Amino acid sequence: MEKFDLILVGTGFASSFFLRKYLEKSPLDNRVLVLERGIMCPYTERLKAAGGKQSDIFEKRVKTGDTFINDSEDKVWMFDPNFGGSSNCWTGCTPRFLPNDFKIKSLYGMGQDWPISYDEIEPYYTQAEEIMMIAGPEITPFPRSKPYPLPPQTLSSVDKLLQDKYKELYISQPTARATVPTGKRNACCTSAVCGLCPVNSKFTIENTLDYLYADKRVTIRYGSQVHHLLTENDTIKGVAYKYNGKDYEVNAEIVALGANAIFNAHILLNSGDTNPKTGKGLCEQRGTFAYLYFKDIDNVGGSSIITANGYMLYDGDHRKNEAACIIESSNIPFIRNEPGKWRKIARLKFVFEDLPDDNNKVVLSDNFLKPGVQYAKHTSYVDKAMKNLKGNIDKIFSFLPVEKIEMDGYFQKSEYHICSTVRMSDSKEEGVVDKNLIHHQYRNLFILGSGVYPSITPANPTLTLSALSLMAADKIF
Amino acid sequence: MKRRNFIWLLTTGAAGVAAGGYIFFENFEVLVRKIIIKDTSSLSISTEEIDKYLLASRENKSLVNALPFSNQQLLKWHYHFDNPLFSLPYNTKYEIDRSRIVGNFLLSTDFFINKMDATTPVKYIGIYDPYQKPCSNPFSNLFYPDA
Ligand SMILES: Cc1cc2nc3c(=O)[nH]c(=O)nc-3n(C[C@H](O)[C@H](O)[C@H](O)COP(=O)(O)OP(=O)(O)OC[C@H]3O[C@@H](n4cnc5c(N)ncnc54)[C@H](O)[C@@H]3O)c2cc1C
Repeated sequence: MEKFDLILVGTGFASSFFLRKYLEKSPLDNRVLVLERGIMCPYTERLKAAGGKQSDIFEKRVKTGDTFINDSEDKVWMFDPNFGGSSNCWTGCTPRFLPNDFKIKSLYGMGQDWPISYDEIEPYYTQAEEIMMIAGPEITPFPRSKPYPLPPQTLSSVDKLLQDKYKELYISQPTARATVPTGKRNACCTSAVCGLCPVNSKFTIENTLDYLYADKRVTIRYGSQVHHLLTENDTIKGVAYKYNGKDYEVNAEIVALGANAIFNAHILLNSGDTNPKTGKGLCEQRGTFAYLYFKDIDNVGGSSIITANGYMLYDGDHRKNEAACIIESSNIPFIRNEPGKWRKIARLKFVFEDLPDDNNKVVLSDNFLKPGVQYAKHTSYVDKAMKNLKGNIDKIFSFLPVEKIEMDGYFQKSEYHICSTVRMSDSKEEGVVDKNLIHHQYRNLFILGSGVYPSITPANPTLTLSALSLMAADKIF
Repeated sequence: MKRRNFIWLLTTGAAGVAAGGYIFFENFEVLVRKIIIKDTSSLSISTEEIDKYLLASRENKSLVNALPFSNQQLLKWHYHFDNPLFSLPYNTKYEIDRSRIVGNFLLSTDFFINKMDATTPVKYIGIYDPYQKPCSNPFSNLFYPDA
């Protein structure tokens, strides 16, 4: 049977950032096998399809809906199961977590602490930001050892008033949408359809880290779906995967799963992992919108799809009772349907953290190749925060000339951030992996990605999971 | 029940069903046209410009694709029952969708590029589509560098 030094599953953020550090540190004669279930669907083909043109390659992509069995009608799980993973469709919002996010149990008595601190991950945040060439402001609510690589996005007229009032609690959103040309990426020009940037400004694996997969140590196999691990006592010997309808097995010294929070858990369950927490705690944030109608300010001059982040409802003692909330100010071309007041409006999103709950989980299904995803409900931690939201909005924005505030009470069916199915912990009783993302039982198995989050925070997860991948590879190799 | 009451009830019921059927089956494009004409009446805009937009939308299905069936129904019912005395449920959703319709139309004209000047005649310039014409968000810093 073939044998490699490392088998890496998936080519999204979690895998690619791990691979980047691994290749930096490992000898030139090491051999890495990358197994990717999807195809390589290049940006140019995606753009063709978005422009209404026929693309045969685009049609051949693995489709999200075909990959798992969703038990809940009210919940949607979104990702791109092809080369580059959801870097192909993400929005590129990259705030860091706050130092207190790593210790919500000890500070606020809620959820679970992380086995690492902000200070430990900080150097890797900086590295991940340099790899993605993040644009961000000078002053942030989280400490930084280095300035952001690219200048910040421009705030809109309304954002500027909010920043004057709330200072470091209201900032230009750190983003992977380049503000000036960098590498193969162009400068963002606020087309505001960031899922597929028309000018290739946002960081993707394809436009920045594709060279990793051309390294001579690396062999990549597309269309190869890993379904279980080959185990011997507490050691992983290799993986089993399906390619073109046939089963294959391959051995390795080390295996790293970067298949996302749903599939990493599923591969473990398929392999007979007996950790009681495996698959449990599936968690996402909840987001809802509010519209502020102004008497006399036009909301213009902003950048990109989301210009700013507000931290006014994020950290503090309220987290003892209710979920933290991050505010996103959006700059899509929405209007207010009133002559003379067309753009005297702001559209804000309020995104709440939730707590992982074991009733929400990834399970085995009748089909060996498809996980079942069971999502019962978000926790009351979110509802409590939601109940106070209207009052909080009134308070926070009362200094602006607001005519009326409208909330439609609608929650998106997905925040697109799948977390916490293989949580990180000091002990195997509390979680599945240790602080270096190594499985508590299988000591040559890394589990990468936001599945390891003990708590999810209201902030977008991808910068943090990328930093964790860099950190894990740096610590171990 | 008296015969007269019965006939009255039957007629009212039938009228209700007919009106309901009319609203349910009303061509969505016809409704959109009415909305646009009404909501942009304060602007200097001819119906030809609106019709150019509707024709292009029909060709690339952008109108129907922009809103799911349920939202289209919500718009129809609200539009026809719009009155000062009561409002149907989901009014906020309705207002947002109606703004979207008018917004999509105006984004396809030069109105926002001309900085929302209500006195300049508004011209249709092409369906607003960032994939055909990137960088065209008229509220961005490219259009308002000194905001
Ligand atoms: C529409 C959208 C918008 C988003 N916006 C943001 C944002 O603004 N900011 C942010 O922080 N996050 C955002 N996210 C979330 C972000 O995309 C994810 O956090 C991130 O992609 C997770 O990275 P990952 O590598 O763990 O998983 P993925 O990106 O899902 O990659 C997993 C990889 O593994 C492969 N794979 C899966 N199963 C197997 C298998 N069995 N065998 C072999 N290969 C397999 C997949 O094909 C893929 O290559 C967004 C997500 C979506 C969908």
